[in-house]
Amino acid sequence: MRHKGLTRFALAAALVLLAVPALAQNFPLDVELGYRIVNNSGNVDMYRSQINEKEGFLLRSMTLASSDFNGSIGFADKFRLDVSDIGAGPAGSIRFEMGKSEIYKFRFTYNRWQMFSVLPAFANPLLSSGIVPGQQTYQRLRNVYDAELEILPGKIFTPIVGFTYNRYTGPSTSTIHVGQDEFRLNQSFTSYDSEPRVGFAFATGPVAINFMQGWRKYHDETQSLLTPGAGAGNSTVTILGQQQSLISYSSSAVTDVRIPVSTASGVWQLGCFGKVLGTYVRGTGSTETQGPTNLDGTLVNFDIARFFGGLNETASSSVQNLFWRGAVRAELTPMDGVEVSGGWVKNFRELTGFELLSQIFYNTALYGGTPTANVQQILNINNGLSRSEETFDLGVAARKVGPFGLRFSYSHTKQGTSVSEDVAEIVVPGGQSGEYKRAINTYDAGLTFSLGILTLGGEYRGQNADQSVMRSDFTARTTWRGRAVVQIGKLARIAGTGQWTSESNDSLGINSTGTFRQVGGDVDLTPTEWLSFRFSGNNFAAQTHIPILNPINLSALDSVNIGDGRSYEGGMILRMKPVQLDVSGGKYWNFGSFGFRMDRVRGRLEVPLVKRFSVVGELGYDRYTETAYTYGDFGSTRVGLYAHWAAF
Amino acid sequence: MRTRFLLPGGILLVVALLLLVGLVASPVLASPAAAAKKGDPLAESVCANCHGDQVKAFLANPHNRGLKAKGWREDAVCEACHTGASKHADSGGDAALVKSLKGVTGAEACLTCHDKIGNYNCATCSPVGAKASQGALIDTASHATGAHAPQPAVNCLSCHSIHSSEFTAPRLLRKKQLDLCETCHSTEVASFRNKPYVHHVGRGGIDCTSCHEPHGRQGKNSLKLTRSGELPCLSCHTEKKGPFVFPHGNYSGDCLTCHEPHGSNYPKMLKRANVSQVCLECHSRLGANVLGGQPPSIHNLNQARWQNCTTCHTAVHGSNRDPQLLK
Repeated sequence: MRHKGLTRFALAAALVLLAVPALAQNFPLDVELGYRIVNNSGNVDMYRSQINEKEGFLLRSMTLASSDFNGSIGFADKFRLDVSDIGAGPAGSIRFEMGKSEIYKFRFTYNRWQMFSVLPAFANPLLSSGIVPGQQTYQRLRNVYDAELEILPGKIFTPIVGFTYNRYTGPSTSTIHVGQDEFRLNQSFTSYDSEPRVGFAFATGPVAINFMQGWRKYHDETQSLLTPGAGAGNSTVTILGQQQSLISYSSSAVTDVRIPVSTASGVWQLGCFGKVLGTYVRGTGSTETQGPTNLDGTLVNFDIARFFGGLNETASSSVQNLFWRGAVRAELTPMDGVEVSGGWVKNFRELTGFELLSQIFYNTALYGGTPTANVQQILNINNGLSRSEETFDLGVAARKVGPFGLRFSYSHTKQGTSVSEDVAEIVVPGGQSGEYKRAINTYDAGLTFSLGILTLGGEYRGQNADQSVMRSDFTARTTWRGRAVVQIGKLARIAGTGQWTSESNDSLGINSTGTFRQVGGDVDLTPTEWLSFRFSGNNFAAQTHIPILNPINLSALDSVNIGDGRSYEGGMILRMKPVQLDVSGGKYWNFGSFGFRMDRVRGRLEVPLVKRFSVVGELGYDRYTETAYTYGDFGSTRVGLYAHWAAF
Repeated sequence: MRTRFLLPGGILLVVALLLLVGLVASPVLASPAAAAKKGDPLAESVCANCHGDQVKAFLANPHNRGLKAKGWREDAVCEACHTGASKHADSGGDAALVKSLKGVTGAEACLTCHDKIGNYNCATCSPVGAKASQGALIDTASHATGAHAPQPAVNCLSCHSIHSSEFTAPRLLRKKQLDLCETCHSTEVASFRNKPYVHHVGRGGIDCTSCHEPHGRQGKNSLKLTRSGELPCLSCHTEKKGPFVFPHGNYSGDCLTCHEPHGSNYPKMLKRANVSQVCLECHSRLGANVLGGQPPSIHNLNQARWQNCTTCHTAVHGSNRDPQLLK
């Protein structure tokens, strides 16, 4: 596989390298291609969960662009290709645009992510037993493609077609809770999400309308098998005198979702006085899921009040979903620089679902040990909810009052959720159906000032709510944000930012509080055109309190989360022709609920060899050290060597 | 769990294919230098006599093409933004006669064409190229009235540079996106740079504008919603979109109830260090009649296996198989 990949890479790289000089005759071009070496120590899984840059070939960046057609007649007068980090992961992208004025416009984007999560302390009930890593792990690859073509852009009638495709696949480990124990599973997961869409834009006189119709299809398949050696489960505790164990487990599930979505929007221009905007989105979706589960072992089930030795389960479920979103908005300009706007937007979602579950328990026995016949259990679970959110807002902005810019707005949001009984049985069945309503008032204000070397900005947001739908909702929240910048010509730029948020919920039984503070400052110094320095420091503090119920003795506990982070960064850029050097380093500490320290160094040195061609060396160094555990500590050094061709 | 770490071949083939498309297209496209060689009238214009570098850079600028397409004389497109340029030239360079585009007043010239929602030219009282095809949810975005609408502190020219943009940053941006946004949103960028659990922003992964519309309105309207109106998270994380028979986050909360999108100190970008904290702060009945505040189960939080809620409740984002989100 590696050999094949290398061959493909070499072939493609050769094509790129052949095409580049030819294109460079006419095209502004910038391309950087090379190899990265990675040297890790400590917990490589943790490194991959956080950074995941891998060793291998890398198309570090490429830009190829032109938009000058010089009076020629051809099939394109605009062409731009941007490529970033394609190769040795973990994330890369391609963006391509091509078009001819008022004839067509084509856009294609591709994004790719390699996702990895093997965290030793996360959801790991066996960490105290010295078992690393956790049981919820995955290694996935996501590829997202999106293309859109506009024909006759800017004309009265513009047809639009587009297509989006998202593929997500890879292995993982998970757990299944059965028979009062948890067992580790090996899983494979594949999903595809696609949406072809067609529509048009229409613009004439003061009216512009846009309509799109999309058809979203989603399909996923999950296969699960008992991890070899995991048959004993997580728990060593016997249930009713019996150790729970699995001999085999297999399950599969296939899900298909279909959602056609219609989107319409329009603008009516009211001369120079303003405009009225409207949007409507509507979709109706359906989900179908089917899949069998088979297992053998020694287990207990309290629902049927028996021990059992095997289970055959078939499940099929169906969901119908309706959603729509409507919005109307007016933006008026009663005088130059003053804008008054107001609008209404409503989101509505309704869901009805059911699941039919058939379970046959084999080799059953009463708790006393008396063998009994197979037991079949058929469950039909119905479910439903509707949710709406409606917001009215009104605002005024005066953007150019001398050196000041001002804005103020008010909005009122009404949330409503209606839930049937079954849906809320997440922890313990029963008692959670009902109607939940909440109204939120939001006041926003902003002020900016810019004169000479000084720019100041301040924002305030105050919110209050009459009640909460969930325990974590606030009933009062206030946020202040401020920023000051002093720009001393090209020599220096000194800036400071601060943000303070406090929130609380004084409802009976909740009484939660939270404060968040983030303060930062940064300084840019450019003593000469070829040398600049940058320093920054940030301080982050968060503290939340909310009482929770201790299920053991039903007493109230205070759930406290503390974040206390500090970061310091510094960097230097040296552009002394022909050499360019860019180095930076940073430290980050968190002294809060989960303490750790991170150290980082980044460096980049570019040395020209011949005209338009240079060699680039890159260095990345990271060290992560946890305070409470040492399982996750790692160190990583990455060195990249790239060839850089720049012709523009 | 081994990966194929040499996967770029197929992708590079696509890149090579796109390059070949460019190669075919190259006869009609040109770099500034090539354009000058071919005799673009602008390169020969009177403006080039004094502002040669700016004119040279402008030859490959999309505005050069756009203005010509709108009927501007080929040797006088500078005048479109720099009103009074002819008088300035005729006077021998009197700076007072030409409009220099700086700050908020300079940015107004941009809005002549770039008011994203239905343009209007007050001078002629007529619409100028209303751009109806600018996206579906247009009530959320406007160059003229959005969060970054021109004002003394921030305006078009704070982020875009017509004559000296970063070549490798599209849309005539002054810098690459993360560096640019950091100018004002330094605390968010510091989170991306420093915190251990983050999206891979700025390195070929996602950028600030993957989730945010810089010309959108204040607050949550600056987010790029999915076509069906959900948070932008679900544009990529499609498997969490549903609809599920037994949804979890669809009642009142959403992704941001549990996750920190700008980077977190905690695994999975959660808002709390421990999974049980995330769960119990909602699922804990203490007198309040709230959704999800069920009475506690027999879970014994003294034991590690009960403290790690997602060990059993694996389908925390929603399930089509189990009302208790166990699978």
